[in-house]
Amino acid sequence: MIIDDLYQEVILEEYAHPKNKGKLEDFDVQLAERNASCGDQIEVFLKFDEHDLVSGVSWLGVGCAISMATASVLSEAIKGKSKAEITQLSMADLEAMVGITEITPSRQKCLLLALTAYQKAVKA
Amino acid sequence: MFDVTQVRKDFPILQRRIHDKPLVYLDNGATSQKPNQVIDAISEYYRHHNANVHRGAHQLGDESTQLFHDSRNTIAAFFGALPQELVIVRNTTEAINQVAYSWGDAHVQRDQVILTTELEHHSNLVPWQQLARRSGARVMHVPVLENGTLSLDAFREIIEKENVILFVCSHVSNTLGTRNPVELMAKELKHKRPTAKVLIDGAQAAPHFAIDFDHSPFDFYAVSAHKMLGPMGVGGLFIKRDVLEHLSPFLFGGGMINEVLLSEASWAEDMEDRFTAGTPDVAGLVGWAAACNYLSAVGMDQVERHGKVLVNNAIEKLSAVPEVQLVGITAPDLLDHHVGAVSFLYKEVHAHDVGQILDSEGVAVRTGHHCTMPLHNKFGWPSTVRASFQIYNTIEEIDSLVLALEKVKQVFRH
Repeated sequence: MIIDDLYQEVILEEYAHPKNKGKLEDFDVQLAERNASCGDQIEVFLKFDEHDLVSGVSWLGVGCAISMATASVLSEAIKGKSKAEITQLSMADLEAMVGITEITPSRQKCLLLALTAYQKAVKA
Repeated sequence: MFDVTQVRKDFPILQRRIHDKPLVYLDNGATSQKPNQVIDAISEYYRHHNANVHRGAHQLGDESTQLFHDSRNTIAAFFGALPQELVIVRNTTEAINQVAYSWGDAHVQRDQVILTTELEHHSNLVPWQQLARRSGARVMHVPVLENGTLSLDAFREIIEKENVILFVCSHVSNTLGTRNPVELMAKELKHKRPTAKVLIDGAQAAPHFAIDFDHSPFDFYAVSAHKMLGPMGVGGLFIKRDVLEHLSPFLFGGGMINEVLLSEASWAEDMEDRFTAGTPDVAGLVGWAAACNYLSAVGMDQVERHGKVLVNNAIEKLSAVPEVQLVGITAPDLLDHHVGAVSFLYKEVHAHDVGQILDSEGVAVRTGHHCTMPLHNKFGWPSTVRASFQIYNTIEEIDSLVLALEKVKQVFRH
């Protein structure tokens, strides 16, 4: 039951076929973030247009299905968004995006890894 | 005769059901479960004997003091040491830090070498990086080989060429389960460099086989109670008498003094007192002594034998799972050196996800880098799954682990 909730089709699909994975040739910000307790790591690349909206996004990373799928889903979701909009994204937004209803305490860091990286990147 | 069914009855938590499945607890390298004998000893202490030690002129104070000393004697005897050689600490990490600060700061000098290994827990790496910064000494590492063992050739070359003052090594690797030949290494080092000292991290060894500290070539031996059926929050640093006599205390305050003036103080003559600053964890010590008694009653030779059966069985069965890549010792002629834990990678599925799915089947394992990042980096493992054993584990539980791995395949079938 918990497993079916956690490993939703969205998670498994995004993990198997991640979007925007790679390094942008032209980017404004590059930021690496790691989850020290489990070793998951991610590096994000962002490009902004003249209105400071996200015009390009990509990421590289090694980690569990939750953290990698979230990185993929988020990379689509933040396209065209402003820095303020990205900063305001919350864990509840993430849960809605990937279809998880209740994340256990031990997996919250997995869910938050990519968001933390993108949010630090827009502030960098 | 060792009877695992009988042993399991002593551990109430093993009756728990997890996600409606029987608990299969294979995370003993992180912490072991506790038998009723330990739980009751702690409870009994607080219900009937609680008072501070070495202080009140009253009956309860005497009882508590007596229990404190009896427990120290039991624990020291279990490790083949004298009670005055046992310094009470919170855990193995604190024990290692105590050596770094009290012995290390006084003896380690610029241009000397602190020798450790690539397979150490972070707790046996970081304190030495810090001591090197303070002292100007260098830290060197004995490499670990693909087969899961330390390179003795490299060790010999280093002790031949370098001015090694301290060798620190785990008795059993927490990630690989490798039982390192630390007796041999310590003897060779001391033959080459008689003034060098040896500290062994025994956290993953003490639960699995007998330690005879006074007959060992080690100067320091660090252990935690909670990995050997005892409570969390108490551990021991064993120090040989000749080293202890020249060692300055590390923590200062009440209990460890002889005379205190406003501007200075002198330390207690009694070594047990000198290294026990402040109120000790008496209940923890009582519980740890109960754990030692429990293991002694089972017999450490039986504990060791059962552990070997489990490790060999796990390696055999996991090797037959196509998606599993075992790490550490698997060669049949080296299997005797594989103790307590079996770690592996699962093809194309991250260890965290494996662990989560195993949990849904009631199987508790550790996933991640197990506080051995340099070891994982060396071999390019992002994260591993570790199954680690205790006396209450069974062959049937290893079957449950293997069966639960089937579910990983089902979930990640894409």
